[in-house]
Amino acid sequence: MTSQITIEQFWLLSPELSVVLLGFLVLGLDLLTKRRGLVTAVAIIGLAVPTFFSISLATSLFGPRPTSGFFGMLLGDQYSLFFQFLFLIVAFGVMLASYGYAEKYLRVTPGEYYSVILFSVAGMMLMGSTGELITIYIALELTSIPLYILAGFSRTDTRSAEAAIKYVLLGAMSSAILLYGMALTYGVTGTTDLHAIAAVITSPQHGILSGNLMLLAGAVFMFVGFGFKISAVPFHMWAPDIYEGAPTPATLFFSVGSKAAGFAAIMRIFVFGGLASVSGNYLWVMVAIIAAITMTLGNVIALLQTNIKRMMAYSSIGQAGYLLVGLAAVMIHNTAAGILGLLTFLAVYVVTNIGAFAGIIGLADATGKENIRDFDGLGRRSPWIAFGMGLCLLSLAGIPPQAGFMSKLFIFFAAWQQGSGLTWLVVLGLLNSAIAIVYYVNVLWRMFAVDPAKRDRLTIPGSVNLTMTLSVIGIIALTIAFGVLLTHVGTSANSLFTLH
Amino acid sequence: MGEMPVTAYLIVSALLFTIGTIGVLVRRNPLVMFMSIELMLNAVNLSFMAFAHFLNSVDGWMFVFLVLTVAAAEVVVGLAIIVSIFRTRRSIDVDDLNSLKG
Repeated sequence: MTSQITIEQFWLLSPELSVVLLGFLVLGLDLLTKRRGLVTAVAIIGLAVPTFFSISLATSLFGPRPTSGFFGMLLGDQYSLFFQFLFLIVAFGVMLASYGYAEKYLRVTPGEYYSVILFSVAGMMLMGSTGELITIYIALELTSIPLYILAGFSRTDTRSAEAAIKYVLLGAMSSAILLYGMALTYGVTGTTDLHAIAAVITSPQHGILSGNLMLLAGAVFMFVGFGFKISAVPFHMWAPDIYEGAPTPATLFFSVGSKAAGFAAIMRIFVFGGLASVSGNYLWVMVAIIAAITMTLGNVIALLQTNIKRMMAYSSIGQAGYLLVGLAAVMIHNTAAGILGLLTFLAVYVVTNIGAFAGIIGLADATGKENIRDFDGLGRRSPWIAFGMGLCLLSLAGIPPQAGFMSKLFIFFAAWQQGSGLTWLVVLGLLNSAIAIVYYVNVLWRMFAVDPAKRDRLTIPGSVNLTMTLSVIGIIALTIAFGVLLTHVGTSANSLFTLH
Repeated sequence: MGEMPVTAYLIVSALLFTIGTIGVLVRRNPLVMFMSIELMLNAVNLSFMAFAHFLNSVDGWMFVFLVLTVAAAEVVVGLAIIVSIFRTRRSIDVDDLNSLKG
C-alpha cells in the first residue's frame, strides 16, 4: 500500500469517476437543449468512456494495473473489474429500455432521470471495488439515495410516491442497522480496512475473537443490513410494494442493480474481509436457513400474483434465495466454487432480467397495463417482444440448455460438493425450481396459447425492441460461450482469496 | 474526574439504538419515523466515538463525520418525498398509504 496519491490511483478510479462526470454532463445538458433524444444519446453513448477505462484497466493498457489505491480504499482486482462491467451493462440496458417510457409517462426532463441512474450506477461500481467499511457505506448510500428518488419519479402517481416513502424509510433503517454492525466490527478489530480485519480474524494470536459475541453481532447486523438490499426474507417486505409502485424502468433497475450491488458488497465483507469465519465458522447456518425461507416464500407467493411486476418482485426474491445458497456454499468451507456460481448467476440474471423487463416495459408503454392477464395473446399482438420475453422467462425458470439453467446448476453443484451440511438445501432448491416453472410458463401460455381480447398490433418503441434484441443476443451468446464466461469469472472469484 | 469505561458508552448506545428501532416499527407518522432513524444513527455515532477514543484511532471519527453528512442527504430526499405525498393526499400517515398491498 502506497502512502501517496499518484496518477495511477486516479486511473484505478477512472471508471467510477467518469460515470459521475457523465451524470453531471447529462444534467447540465438539460439546461442547454430541449431535444430529449440528444440527452438520451449522450447518456447512453457516453458510457463508452467508463467502458474504455474499465477495458484499459482489464488489459493493463497504460502499464501494470495498480492493485490498490487511495490508502487501500480502492482495490484493483479482477473482482472489481467484473462488477464494473456488470454495472455498465446494467446502466446501458436500463437507460436504453426506459427511453420511450420516460418520454411518455415521466413528466420530467430526461437529464434528471438519466443522471440519477448514472449516480446510482457509480455507487454500485464502487461497492464492488472498495476494500474498506467507510467507503462501502458511502458507496451504498450513493447507490440507495438515487434509488429512493427513482421510486418516486412519477410525482403525480400516488402509488409511486407511496413506494418512495416506504423505500426511503426501510432503506434508511437498514442502513442504520448495517452501520451498527460496522461499528461493532470496528470496535473489536480496531480497523475499518477489510484486509486488516481479515488478518485480525484469522491470525492465531487473536484466536479469542472466534468466540467473540460482539464480532458475531457485528457480522449478523451487517448481513441484516444487506439483507434488505438483496430482499432476503424476512427483510423482503419492501420489494413487492416498491416494484409495483415505481415506474417500470426503475423497477428493472432495482431488480438487477440493487441486488447485484448488495451481493458484491456481501462477498467483499464476508469472504474477502474474512467475516464468514467469525464465531467458529457457523455463520453459514444462518445464511442457509435464510436462503431456504427466501427461495420457498418467494416462489410460492409468486404463484398467487396477478400483477406482473409483483410477480417479478417475488420471483426476484426467489432468485435471491438461489444466490444465498451459493453464499452458504462459499461460507461453509471458504471455497471459491460457490463464488464462481454466484458471479455467473448474477451475470446471467442481469442480462435475462433486462430482457424480461423490456417485455413488461414494452407492453406497459403500448397499453399502459401491467397485469398478467394483459399478456393474453401477446404472441400475436407483438411477436418479437413475446418471443424475447418468453426466452428470458424460460432462462429465469432454468430450462436447459439456457444459460440460466447452467448458472443455477453451478450454484447447486457447488453447494452439493460441500458435503452433507447443504444437501437438504440443494434438494429444496430443486423443488423450488420446479415451482418456479409454473408461474413463468403461465405467462408463456398466456402469451402464445390464449386468444387476445383485442386483435391489434402493438406499437412498441424502437428502444425497447433494441433492448430486447440485445438481451436475446446476450442470452444466446452466454449460453453458447458459457465456458468463456466461466474462465473470466473464475479469475474474479479467485481474486477474492488471493490476499489471504 | 475518573474516565468512564467504554462499556458504559456502548450500553447507552445499544439502548438508544433499540429505542430508535422500536420507534421506526411502532410509530405511524413518517416524520417521527425519520426522527427514530436519526436516533439509531446517533446511537451508532456514539459507538463509533467511544471505540475511536478507546482504540485511539481516527477511523471512528471519520466515520461519524460521513454518517452525519449522509444522514442529512437521506433526510432531504425523505422530506421531499413526504412533501410530494402531502400535496397529492393531504395526509402523511403511513396507515393511509395502502394502495399497494399483497
